[in-house]
Amino acid sequence: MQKKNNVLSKIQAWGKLFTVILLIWLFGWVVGPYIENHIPVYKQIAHVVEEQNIDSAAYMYADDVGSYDGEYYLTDSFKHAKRDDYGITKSFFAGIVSCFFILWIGWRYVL
Amino acid sequence: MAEVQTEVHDDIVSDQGKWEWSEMWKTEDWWAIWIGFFILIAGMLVYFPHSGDMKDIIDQAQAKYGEAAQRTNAIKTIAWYKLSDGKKKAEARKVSAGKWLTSFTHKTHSWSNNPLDAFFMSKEKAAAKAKAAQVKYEEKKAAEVAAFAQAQAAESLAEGAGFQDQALNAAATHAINTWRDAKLLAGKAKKKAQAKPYNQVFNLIGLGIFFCFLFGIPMIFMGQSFKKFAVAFLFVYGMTVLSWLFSYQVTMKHYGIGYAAWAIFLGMMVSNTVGTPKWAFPAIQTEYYIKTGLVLLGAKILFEKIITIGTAGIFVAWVVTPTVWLITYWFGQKIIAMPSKRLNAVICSDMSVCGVSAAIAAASACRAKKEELTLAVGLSLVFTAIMMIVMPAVIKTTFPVDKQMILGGAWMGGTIDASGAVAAAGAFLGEKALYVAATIKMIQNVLIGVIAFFLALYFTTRVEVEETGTKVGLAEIWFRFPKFVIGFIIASLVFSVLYSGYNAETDGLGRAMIDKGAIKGMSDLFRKWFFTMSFVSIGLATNFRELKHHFKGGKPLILYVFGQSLNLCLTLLMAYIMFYLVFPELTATI
Repeated sequence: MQKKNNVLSKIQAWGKLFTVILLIWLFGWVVGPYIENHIPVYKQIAHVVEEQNIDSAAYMYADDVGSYDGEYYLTDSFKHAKRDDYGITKSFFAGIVSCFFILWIGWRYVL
Repeated sequence: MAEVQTEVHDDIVSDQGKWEWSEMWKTEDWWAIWIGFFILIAGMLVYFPHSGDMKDIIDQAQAKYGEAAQRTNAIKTIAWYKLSDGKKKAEARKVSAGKWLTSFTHKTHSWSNNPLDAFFMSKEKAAAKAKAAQVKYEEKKAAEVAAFAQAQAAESLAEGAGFQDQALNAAATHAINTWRDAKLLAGKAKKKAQAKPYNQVFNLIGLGIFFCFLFGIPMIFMGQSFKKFAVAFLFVYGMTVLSWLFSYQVTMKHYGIGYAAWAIFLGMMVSNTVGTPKWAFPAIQTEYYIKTGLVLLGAKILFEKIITIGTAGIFVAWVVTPTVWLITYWFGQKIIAMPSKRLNAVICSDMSVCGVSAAIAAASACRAKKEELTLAVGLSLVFTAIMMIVMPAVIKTTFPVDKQMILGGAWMGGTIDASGAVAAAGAFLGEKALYVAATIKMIQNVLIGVIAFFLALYFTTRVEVEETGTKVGLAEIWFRFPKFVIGFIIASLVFSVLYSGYNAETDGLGRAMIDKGAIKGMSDLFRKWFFTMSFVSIGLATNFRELKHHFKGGKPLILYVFGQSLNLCLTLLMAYIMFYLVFPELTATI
């Protein structure tokens, strides 16, 4: 009896596993593409992702080339404009100090 | 090993530890540092001898376009862009050793219907793919050539007026931007037209063996069996490769369902159906892999980068983020009474800082449970997928056209959790939106270090003291403090100094040697593997019932929704104030 139950629970476990695999297949090849083709914004984003080869699943900035290009573009743009209000100015420094000040306030009165 | 004495006083259990030097080779915290440093030092040895070559490439671009690029700062001329493109060609990772490392550590390739395409592509198939892409490339190239001719004509007209005529300058800027967009698309199409055959199978086997020794040898010092680890590692590594395989399927890629989601999901699928095999447990070492990955992550937290976005951006990224973190944490503790402070802190971090990577760092710094990290990552992934579609649509339909790129980009960069989703949503609006969004996200990424240190200190000196009921001295703080945070900070400081040093020598050399050298060409190649292995381990050790217990009452969801709503409001407000009211002239130069 015990042996029969064990076999039954094993079959159940494998059955669950195959059901999940089937669901993944359904999403990847049927539901996912259907949604993609029927929501215009999604379709356009998918097109942009493919066309520009964006790693839309990246978790860190360096995982995606756009971040580096963006950084270079912005840095060079600011340098090119030769403005006094770019770089380590008083306002910029105030931004950094504000961050640590907020954390200190939090440490002292919130946490 | 450190000596831990457990004392029981009136039902309060307290652990008192004593530091011992042998900890440095007997604990995973320290081995994470040593392995991380080993990889980073290897990266320096491979790439740093090539700094002269990279400097030459930058100097050549400067000599060719520098003067022409400087002839006006009223607009960004064609020469300015060519100078920028020329400098970008300096990438240390393009040296032969770098190319080999990239190929050796490559994950699976993109595929749509046949999973074998992820591992292998024959010469014939690659040639057919390249031929099909060639037609598109030629179309894009023709569009680029036409756009370039128009940009040249518009720039000549503006130059004829000495770059003093605003209308002509605007027309030239528009024509040049159109050319840049066309060039970007032609460049991407060119890459596809150069499809080459590959066989990733042997590299994946070789990489698995390398990882097995890299993590297995320290296991001997930690008193574990190498043989048992090696057998178990086969299983964990196999699941890791499977996670990459799923994440590179084309539909999953479009939806932004990446390696972390797949690794946790596949792990949980096995553990909650057929069960994780007992022999696999010696290699289910979540903390070990995650901390090693975090030390590598530290190297890319470069402090000079925070200057990139300018003053307006720093307020959006560095003032809103801690504010949202603290208010949401307070909300979690005082209003909805989250039962776990650790879960509260991890959700606050992934929601306000930068999603999965911040969650990993926060969870390790405050010693959260695996299920708590899984829950926080799950919430982040679901909301990221939703926000990636909804936000650009909202911006496109409700924002004034002149503010869509910068205000919209800053808003998305400050609120969407994952960098890839930020890039996809930004690119949907346009190149400039992509750049602003991605850069804001990058600067938020730098905050990971600050938040991780802050959390480690808070949980060590306050929360754990409350839990154990005993005050701790400096020695005890040192004993309890998660040591990998030290490795993370040292890596960040050393690489920040190197980055700034190279840039001081030649403008752009820091990017070539650090960003596109030791980081992109070494630490990043391994970091993603380590994080995936840790997520697989989390999944394999996670029980649905345990997870359900943490989700009780939907409190984590309420916390996330509250925090993200606050984040959306504050980020938009701060971005508008800073970019358009306080620094409008600086914004106009972007």
